[in-house]
Amino acid sequence: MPVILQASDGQQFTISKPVAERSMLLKNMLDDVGENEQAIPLPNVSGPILAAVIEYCEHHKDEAMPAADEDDKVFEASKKKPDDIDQWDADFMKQGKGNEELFEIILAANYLDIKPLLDLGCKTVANMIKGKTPEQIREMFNIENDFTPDEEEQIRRENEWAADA
Amino acid sequence: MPPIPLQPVVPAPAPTFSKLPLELCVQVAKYLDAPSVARLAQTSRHFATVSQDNQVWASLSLRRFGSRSVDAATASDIHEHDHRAAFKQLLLANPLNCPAERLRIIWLTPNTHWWTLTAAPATNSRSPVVAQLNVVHWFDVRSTTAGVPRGEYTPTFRLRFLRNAHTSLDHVALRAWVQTDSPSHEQYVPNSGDAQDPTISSRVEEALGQLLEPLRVDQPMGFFVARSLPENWIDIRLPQIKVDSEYASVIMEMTDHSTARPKRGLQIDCFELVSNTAVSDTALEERQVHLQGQELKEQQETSDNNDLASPSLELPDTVINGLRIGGASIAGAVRYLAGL
Repeated sequence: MPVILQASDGQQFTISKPVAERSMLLKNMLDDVGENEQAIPLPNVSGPILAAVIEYCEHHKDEAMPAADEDDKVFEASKKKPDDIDQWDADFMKQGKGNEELFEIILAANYLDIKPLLDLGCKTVANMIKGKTPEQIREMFNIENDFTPDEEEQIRRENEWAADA
Repeated sequence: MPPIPLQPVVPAPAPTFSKLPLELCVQVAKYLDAPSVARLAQTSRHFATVSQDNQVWASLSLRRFGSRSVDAATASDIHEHDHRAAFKQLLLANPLNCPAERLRIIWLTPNTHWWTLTAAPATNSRSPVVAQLNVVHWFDVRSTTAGVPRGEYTPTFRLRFLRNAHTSLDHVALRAWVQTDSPSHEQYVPNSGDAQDPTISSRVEEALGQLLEPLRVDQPMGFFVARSLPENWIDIRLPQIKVDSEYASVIMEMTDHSTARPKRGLQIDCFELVSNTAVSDTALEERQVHLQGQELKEQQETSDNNDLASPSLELPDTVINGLRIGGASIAGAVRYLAGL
């Protein structure tokens, strides 16, 4: 039975249950409430972002779900490399997505509890940061430099040891 | 069925990186490397806080050093699983330049007959103390560097031969290899027959001879003709090796297991992985200075001045056998240096 989702702007999406269950939030909700013809309101997610999230879930609907306790397994984490992004996922993050959409997807993935998508979003941002100077990072993400000159010098010194680690 | 009317939602401002919840910024930082975390920290107060998060450093440390990171974080001198401090400590323990005092040398005991650590001669030394071989029948000298970042490196053995080295080091083998799997369980790779393989040895000697020939011509008053050994260290470079995962352990090894005659007349300054990866960022210029302290910096300054005078040998790609990327015998070099 299909599941109907309603985005913050009222836009509705009808998706299959396996697609919806990529989201742990929706999975738990469906398990608790049972099947229902009513649309599930998602007031934190806008229509265009929900459409993108659904596209991601459609593509990955047949994959095994990551174990819930994955983070507890210390040695599993060592396999989660930042450059370990498959081609479809990399293209998905690139297609016409500016910084704003990227962070909205991260927020949506966090809210909907879709861990692989959250990881993908975080890796994408991390790869954008790598190799850039503090000034370049500030420009890229509109970060305001709120350090006093003294603080800035202090923080630079505190981080010197890792500068070329 | 009509949709459920939604509660009016205050339109959220467009999200930016700074406006993400701290927890999500931490999730992003977990995928960075240490220099990037350091640079992110310098952008604003918010990200300075993010970059101090213990979870960030636990993740970086685990990716880079594997299970060693867990041991380091629970070591008695680390305060309450401070992963940042543990990471720093592991980094210091795994420099790309492994000085003599960090080499794992079998027989390195305070015994005048075997190996001793002795003050560096006043030439282009990198290490404050160097290892000197007195007399042994076989030896193993090895450096293990964990958490070597992706890139291409030239394994460089910085050695000196003393007068009495003549013919005693005929079967020395040099090797370097990358170890990606289970960095916590280092496997001992015994010195098999390659060093004794006559075809390889003769090829290496021939190549060494060719490499030394121009040196000999260019320096008529130098050590070759004057029968005196060079004051400076000789850099013996193996073929470049490549770390193609995010981080890996690299092992460099110098062995002589032939028991025919005693080995002597060798000094080791350091085993070094010289990075061939172009460093593009100006922020990276202060390399090593902060890692290893002022003392080393001063030493490097003096050694840089002497670099032109330092002869070096490029060894051809001779042995590609399983994990071993490069291997060669330095017998030819010793003959050239000691026999002329």
